[in-house]
Amino acid sequence: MITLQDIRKVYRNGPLEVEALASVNLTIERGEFVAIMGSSGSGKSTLMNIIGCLDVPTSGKYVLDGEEVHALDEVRLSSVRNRKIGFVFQSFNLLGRQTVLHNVELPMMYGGLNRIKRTQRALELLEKVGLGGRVKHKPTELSGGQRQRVAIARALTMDAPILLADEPTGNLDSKSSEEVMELFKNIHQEGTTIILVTHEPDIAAHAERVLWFGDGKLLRETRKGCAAI
Amino acid sequence: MSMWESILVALDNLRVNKMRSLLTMIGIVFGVMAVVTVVSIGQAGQASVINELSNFSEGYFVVFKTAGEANSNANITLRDLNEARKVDGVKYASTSSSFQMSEMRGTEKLQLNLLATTFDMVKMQKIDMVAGRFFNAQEQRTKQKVLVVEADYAEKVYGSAERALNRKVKLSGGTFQIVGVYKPQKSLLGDIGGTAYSVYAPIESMPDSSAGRYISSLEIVSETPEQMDDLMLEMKEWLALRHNAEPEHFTSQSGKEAQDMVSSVFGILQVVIGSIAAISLLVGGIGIMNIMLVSVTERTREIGIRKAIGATPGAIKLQFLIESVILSFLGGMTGALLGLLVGAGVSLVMDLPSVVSFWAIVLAFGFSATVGIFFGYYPANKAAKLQPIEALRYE
Repeated sequence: MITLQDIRKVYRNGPLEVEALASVNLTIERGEFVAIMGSSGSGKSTLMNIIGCLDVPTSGKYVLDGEEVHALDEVRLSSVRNRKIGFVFQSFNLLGRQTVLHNVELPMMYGGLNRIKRTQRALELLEKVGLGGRVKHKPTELSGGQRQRVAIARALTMDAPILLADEPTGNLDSKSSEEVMELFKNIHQEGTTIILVTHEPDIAAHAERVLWFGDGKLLRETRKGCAAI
Repeated sequence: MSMWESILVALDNLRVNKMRSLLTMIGIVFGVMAVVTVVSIGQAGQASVINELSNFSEGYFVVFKTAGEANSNANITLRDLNEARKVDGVKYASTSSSFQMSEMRGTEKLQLNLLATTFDMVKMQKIDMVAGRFFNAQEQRTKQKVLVVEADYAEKVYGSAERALNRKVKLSGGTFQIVGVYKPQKSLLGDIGGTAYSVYAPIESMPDSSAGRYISSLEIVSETPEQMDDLMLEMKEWLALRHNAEPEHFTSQSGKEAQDMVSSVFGILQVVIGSIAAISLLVGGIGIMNIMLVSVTERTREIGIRKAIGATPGAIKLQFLIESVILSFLGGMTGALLGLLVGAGVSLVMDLPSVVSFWAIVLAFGFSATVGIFFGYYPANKAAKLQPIEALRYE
């Protein structure tokens, strides 16, 4: 369902050209749990941003559910982000001034759901991530682990088929990390495709498939239960 | 996201930055206040002057030597006035010349504005007598030094209107006897003129009362209002014949025309001063743009988050545009209210009719909303065009 063909991303900085991604070819099927690993500067985050439609490739073809995403304009891209992709960031990226409930409702506001449905769905999801009692709190009043769970609830609101997580446990202690990974597992079992960027091997160990990146290239990949290819 | 929700989000953002929102709004408040004040005071003044001009009887007009006319034969004299009364269709004829005089009362110097006129004036113009009477034809013919003074003067000098009657007033032209006291119409110009008291005296009682004395104009009332237009032309021809001049050497103007002229002068004044006031609205608008640009930069990350979860460029643009429109609209509302209050206050102090200008308010609202959209558009567009990933990375 995600097909990347010859994806390149070049950053221009004056006369300097930096190749963040050099011809990446990749297919991820529906329902996979994929971890992307690599050192910093390996291109793994750039790839993640391109898959998440936050960034556009310099060249190459990106097909998502049969749709040629690389050719879409900003309005269509925002719709793709809204309906198809749920984001979980390392730094949570919640709106600090708004309540937990409002934060979770936000994607549904842009998605055009009515108020009653929105609130109902948001409360349901907050219950699911174990924050049913904190809906009126501001994110600043929550711990890191709780904030990340709010972000996960937000990523699930539109029933997006893909969940992208960029170092989701990078700012969390080990206990919170485990709770978050537990949630991901449950979400995965319900059929959502999960793509997770990390540099921690024990986090990547939760995934069925691990992609190793370096110098903007896909170096190798391993599947659970299989030797490195 | 619905419009209503966008408005709520915008209000929320403005609330969080209370002080900043307030200060930004003040620019618009003063701009709109200035415009509304100018227009409402202008309209009150206009209404007042027109009201004053409508004190004249129907069929009233003046004839004077055309401005800039060099023909010295065309100077109107006192003799013309006396003959004009006999012209067919003329009901009343009069003239008035004003003299600035001062009078010493003990150590205080009173300023008087003496209007030298004829006995008919009381019939041509609304003059409310509160004591005594206006001077009559007999007194005028015999060059009696009689005076009709305004009520404020009588009260100031003698304590009351009645006590002023038959008193003597020493002026530079001689000693005058008070025969009547009148209450002047509320006058914008008189009030602006300040402290001078208006008094009437017969024109024949002035030092030069010869028949050949020049007068500035003839003031005429026609027998019937319908006759006025014809009589205005006839009087010019009549004067031309008497002075061996051309009718074009004289100009006649009706009370209605004078009203129209005053209206247009006030209209122009309002537009000019209003435009100057509108510049402050422009400055206020730039203030809004400035603060919106700051706000967009400050909230770059928030914009990134909203975009990441599916906000379209249009939704982001609308959000910022609504914020700037709310700022300028609230400012406009406050400004219009303050402007009306100031206008009403000034009208009260200056004794003008209080006029609430519908158009001034519509103008202020329209203008401030336009300012909000115009100056909010650029920052809103800037926000809408941010690349999601760059906005998210912004620290």
